[in-house]
Amino acid sequence: MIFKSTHPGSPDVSVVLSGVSVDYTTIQSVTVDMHENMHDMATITFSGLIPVGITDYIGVPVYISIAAGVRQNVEFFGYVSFIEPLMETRKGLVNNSPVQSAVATCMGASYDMTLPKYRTWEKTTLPQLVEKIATSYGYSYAVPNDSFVWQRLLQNGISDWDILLKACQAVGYSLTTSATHIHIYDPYKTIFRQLPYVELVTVKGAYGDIQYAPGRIMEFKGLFGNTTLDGIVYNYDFVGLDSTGSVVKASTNNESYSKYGELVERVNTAEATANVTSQEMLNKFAGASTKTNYPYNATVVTTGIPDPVPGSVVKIDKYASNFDGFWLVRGVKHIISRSNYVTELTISTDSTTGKEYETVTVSAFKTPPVPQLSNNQWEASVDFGDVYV
Amino acid sequence: MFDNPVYRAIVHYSDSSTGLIRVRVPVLSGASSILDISYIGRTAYNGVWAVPEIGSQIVVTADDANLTNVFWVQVAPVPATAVDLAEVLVRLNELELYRDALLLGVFE
Repeated sequence: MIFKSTHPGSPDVSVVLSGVSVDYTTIQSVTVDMHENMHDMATITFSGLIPVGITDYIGVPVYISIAAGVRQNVEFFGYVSFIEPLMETRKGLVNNSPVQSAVATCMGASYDMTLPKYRTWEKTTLPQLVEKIATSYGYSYAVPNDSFVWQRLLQNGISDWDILLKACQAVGYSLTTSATHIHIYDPYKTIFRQLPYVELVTVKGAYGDIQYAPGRIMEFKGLFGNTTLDGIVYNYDFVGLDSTGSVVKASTNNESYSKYGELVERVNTAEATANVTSQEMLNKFAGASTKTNYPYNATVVTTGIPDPVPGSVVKIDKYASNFDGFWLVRGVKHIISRSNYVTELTISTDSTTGKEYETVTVSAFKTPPVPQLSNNQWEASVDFGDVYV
Repeated sequence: MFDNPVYRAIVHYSDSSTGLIRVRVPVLSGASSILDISYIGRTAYNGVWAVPEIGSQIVVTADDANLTNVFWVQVAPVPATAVDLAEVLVRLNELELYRDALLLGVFE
């Protein structure tokens, strides 16, 4: 434990920098940021850091744990990517050090996957691609059992991470790599993956009770409408030419959505074209086209809650509005200092409360193996691959 | 949007009886990946495919960023021209035979 206040809701925060000397009492705050389709990231802010060791921290393996009560822990496994010391002479010494503050930015273990490479992947499915990449790094993985075959995927000067992301996004999947586990999921089916689910409570939902509880909404900043930061929300009519020279077509419609409730109406239908090898490939591209843009988006700051992860579903209730209901968690940022712990969630939905969510069949998330450090590299402690239906 | 640039490629394998052409495009896929040239837009004449020599340098392009179809950028022989050329060769052979016959006094 590095710090914990006397408040019963205060989390136990542990930070370990492997193989270097650290005065852990100088740690002032920690953030852990997890987002779909991105590497995990953490920052550690030191105050009065001993200057002699600053540069020794670069590249060092890091472990951070945030434990709140009996609930799920937030764990971060990664490496110090860079460190930004700030030395302002006019401010004098802090803890007898001229380094008043320093922020160490740490990237998740998946940052190992960022070396550019050149190769082609011939006649491969997504599970085959994931298995080859994951096992080459000693990672575990979970991927939908998707039989679609890419005739060719070109990896030209991009990393294994980027080729994986490119393949996932093209066919409508999201990707996270927390610790040493690659998790690929269909955002429209994630509610039944049974990742941690929480209800975020508004002031009204708490019936005026202003006592502390995890997951109380402190701020809700919404962006509602078909014009979003991810692009404009449309239905799509796709046209392509397959390998035999036949014109192929595919469309999205008002059945192509998460089905958390009643679809927020998509006003327009855009035309799009794609180079494809088959009708199946065009269907995949069309199906993916609606999965990145959602008409209702929000950033919610709550009292600290360690449970949600990207891919989780949260419920917002008691705003007495059309946007009450289920939202997909796309990013989670935990911000902990010695005096407070808040969680910032990036969430999206395409549904209103108009009707009940529809059930889809998909396997539940299986707990992956814990990471271990081997030659200063994080890897899964046992081989684990889950190709789920 | 993919912009269809052209790339230089090295011919790794070619076969004029099947039309198969395999190339390396080092600037795109490194030194080890070998890509097949698409048959789209190519035709065999009299059972023979026009193919480049192994080891030669050719220009290729593609219609998507994954190089799903790689095309050989070449000046395709026009079938009519090819037939004319064959006829000229036949006529030349006949003339040579006729000349040889004259020299040997066959037509005395």
